[in-house]
Amino acid sequence: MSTPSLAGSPGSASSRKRAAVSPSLRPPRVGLRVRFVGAISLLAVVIVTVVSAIEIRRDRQEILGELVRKARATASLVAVSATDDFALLDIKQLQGTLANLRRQEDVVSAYAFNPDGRILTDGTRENPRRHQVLDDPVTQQVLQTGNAVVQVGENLLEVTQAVVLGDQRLGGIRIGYSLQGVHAQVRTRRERSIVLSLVFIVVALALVWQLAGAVTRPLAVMLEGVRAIAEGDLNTRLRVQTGDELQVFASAFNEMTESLQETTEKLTHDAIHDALTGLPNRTLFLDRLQHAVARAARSGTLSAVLFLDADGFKIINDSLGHGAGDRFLQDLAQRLQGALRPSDTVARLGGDEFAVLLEDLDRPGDALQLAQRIQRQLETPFTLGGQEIFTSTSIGIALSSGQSDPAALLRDADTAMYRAKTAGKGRIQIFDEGMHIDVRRLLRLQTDLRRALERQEFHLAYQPILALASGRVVGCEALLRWRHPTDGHIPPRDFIPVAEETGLIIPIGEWVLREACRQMQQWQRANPGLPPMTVSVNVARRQFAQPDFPFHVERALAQAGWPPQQLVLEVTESTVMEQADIVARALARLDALGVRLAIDDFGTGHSALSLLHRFPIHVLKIDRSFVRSLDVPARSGAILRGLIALGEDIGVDVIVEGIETDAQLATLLAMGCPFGQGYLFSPPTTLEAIGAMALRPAAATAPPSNPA
Amino acid sequence: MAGEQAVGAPPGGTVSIGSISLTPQEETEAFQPLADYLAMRMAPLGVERGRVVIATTMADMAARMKRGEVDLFIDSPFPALFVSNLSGAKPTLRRWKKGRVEYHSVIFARKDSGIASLGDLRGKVVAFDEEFSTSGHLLPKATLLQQGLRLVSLADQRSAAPPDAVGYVFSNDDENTMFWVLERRVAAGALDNQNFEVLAGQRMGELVVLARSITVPRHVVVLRGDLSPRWVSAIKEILVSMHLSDEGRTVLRKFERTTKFDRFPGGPEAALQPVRDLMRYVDAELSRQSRQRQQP
Repeated sequence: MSTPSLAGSPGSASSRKRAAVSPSLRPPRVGLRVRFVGAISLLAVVIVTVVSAIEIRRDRQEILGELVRKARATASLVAVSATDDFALLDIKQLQGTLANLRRQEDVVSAYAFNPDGRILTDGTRENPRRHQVLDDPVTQQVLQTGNAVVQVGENLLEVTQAVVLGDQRLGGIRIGYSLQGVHAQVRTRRERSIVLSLVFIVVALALVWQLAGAVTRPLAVMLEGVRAIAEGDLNTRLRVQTGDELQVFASAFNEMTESLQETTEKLTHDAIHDALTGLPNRTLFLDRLQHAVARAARSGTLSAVLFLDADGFKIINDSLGHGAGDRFLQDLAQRLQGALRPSDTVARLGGDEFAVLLEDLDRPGDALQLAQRIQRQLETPFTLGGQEIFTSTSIGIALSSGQSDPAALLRDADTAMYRAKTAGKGRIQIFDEGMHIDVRRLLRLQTDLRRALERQEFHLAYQPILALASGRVVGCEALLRWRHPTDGHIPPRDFIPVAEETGLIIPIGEWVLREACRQMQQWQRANPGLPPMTVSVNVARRQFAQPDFPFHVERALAQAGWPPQQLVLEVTESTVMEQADIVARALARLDALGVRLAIDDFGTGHSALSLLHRFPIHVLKIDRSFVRSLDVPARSGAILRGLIALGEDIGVDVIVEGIETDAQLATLLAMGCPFGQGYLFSPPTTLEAIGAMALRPAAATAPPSNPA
Repeated sequence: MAGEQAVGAPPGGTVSIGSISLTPQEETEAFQPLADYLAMRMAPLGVERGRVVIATTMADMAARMKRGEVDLFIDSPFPALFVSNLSGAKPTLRRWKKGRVEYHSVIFARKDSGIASLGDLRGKVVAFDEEFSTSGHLLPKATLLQQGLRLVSLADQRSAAPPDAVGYVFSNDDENTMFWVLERRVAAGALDNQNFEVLAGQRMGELVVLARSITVPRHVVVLRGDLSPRWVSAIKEILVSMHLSDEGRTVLRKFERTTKFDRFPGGPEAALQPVRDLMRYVDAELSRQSRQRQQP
């Protein structure tokens, strides 16, 4: 049996974390081995004592029995041989006989007595008890029966034997044997028995101690192992080669530890890695960043954090499904790693956000170069589900020179990225202090915007849409206005992107829709002289992405009692393009309702024309840039004319936005443009003002036509 | 025994003490310490060892002394004189056996036997000790004879005595004598006064003393007649001074509780004369009785 031992990592955690160990893992004060041996020794002592006592008792009886037999035999023999001496009363002979008896080792007394029990001789010349009468019952009994009786006392065994001749009682003899010999023999046997018992107990104890040790030694090793594991040293393995259940237990324990170690390592890995891409996660990234910042501070070198956001991820996720989105992120992660040095850290922070830690940079420009290299790597289209997907990446850069707090450094990079994304896709922005101010402002704006709806700080303004030929008002575009309680009027271009970013655009958009329908219905009812007007409401991209958007539209119409045919929903080209599938479903549903659809800012997008046959479009709103261009180059006029003709050809109403001068109006009229809106006619205003304008006698430049 | 003595004596320096006994072993055990003591003291005379010679009869002892086998013989007056007469040995010193220098014989019977005097013993049996016993034989025999009683020797205690005579048996032991009387095996017994008291013990009340003999010296040391004067004076000197030393006293005590040896104050002959007279009387009386029976 080999000595069990503990295999652990050198300088194991035991010394490090000793204080942390649970008190229940300390070795017990009275161990199993001591208890085991104690119990066995107690048992052994009891058994041996009982057995010895029985043995000694039996020995004593045996030895005594031997003496009794000897005494009886001797007495009997003497009685027979001394019969003549008794008959002749030859005291001298009897004395000699008894003297001979007394020479025997254990004989201490011998008497010959007459039939009266009187002592004749005790075997000595002096015979001090001569003539004394033995009047004890035994003597009487012996003399009466003619038999022999043995009496055993404390230290004396006496055999009293009658001497008879025929039926005549001649007297008797009594021989006293000392029991010292018996005692001595018993003592000797007892001592031997005790010695043997002690030897037995000692040997048994030694064996039990050894045996118990064979159990407790491995147990101690196991306990040590369990303690080591409790202290966190999972490299611990038990080496128990006892060849018995303990070894099996130790093996099972080792397997368990291995499994635990694997699980722990996996958990540890999972805790600091992103499951999808296998890249470090935010926790690990921040940890590495902390070390990098510290190193950079010590060595005076530069580190940089790149915050990346894949611009097209949401579209991919929404249009191609999450599986494609996941594959996209995995590919992206792989490409990112390919673009970087092995010493750089790439981490996925969540969603489509990635961070890169660059260390040992010589100058800030290196960070920019690496960021550009990354962008180039990601320009190559991704192939997902057989489709080629083009994407761009916005990157924010924060340098360690300006920030020593790793979390703050990451936040700065995030801010820079946000700025880059706001500035346009596929940009790179290096963080500067000014961004802090922007960010603070943005944060406040978001907070205020959240409260604006509750506090009813929004209101609607309307800009009339006219039939250019007749100069009659045919409808209004509802425009959102925010009057901030302290900052006053905030332009839509400042808060609409924030509302879109935060998702507030959805409740706000619903409010606009409801309110526009309600106000228009109220206005029309209040002014029966007015012809039926249309109302145009702008719908944000995220609103459209809501699956229940058509339902909201239906409900708003129903609540207000506004006819669907008089509602125009304006969406941008990009809204339709980026979420083609969702938009197609929503548009089909809205078309079925009877709601009309307008493409806002038409002509600025990439593939405007393809929309027209893919979707049920009723209105095209031509971007104001086309009208402005009328003032200078003739070529733009041609495009505008083409667009107007196109609308007419395919039966879609065309509204030109941003008409500001009479010259522009004249040109448009010449081109046959049916509808328009702009400051030339009216800035966004109240419905009351529009009502007044509509009821005014027409001063139109051309005969009116019906835009509905 | 000195080197120059030859006849029947073992060669080399040996001093031999003789005694008469029917139990030689017991007797030798009693005498050997004294023999050894003597031998040791007589070493200057060339003595190397002491020997005990046990004879069974007085005649035997006399013969042995005569042959030079025995140098000194210690016994009661009767055997001492008997052996002296036959061998020419000389009574020399007194022995204080068991503290007594003199004693006498007691003839006793059971009180309930109806025997009140020696005359009542006719037709009864008396137990004597041994033939060569002074107190157990010679003295009581003489006492009975002096009463005009006829004595008949019997084979054993169960034999019946003639109605006109006193039958006697030898019990061979004083204790036997006492118990035979007590247990009514015999009508009377004879013991020296000292043993009588000891052996009767608590049963003294059952006994009655019928007669007491004359008083005689207890024990006598007889030296071989042809012993050299150097030996004689050496032995005498050693014995009489034994009780003066611790060593001597120890040996004396072992030798049947002897107090001491000393010289007869009036010389041995004067002290022993009454015994010689008794011996002659007994012989004469017994011869007369024998003749009377042959010529009725």
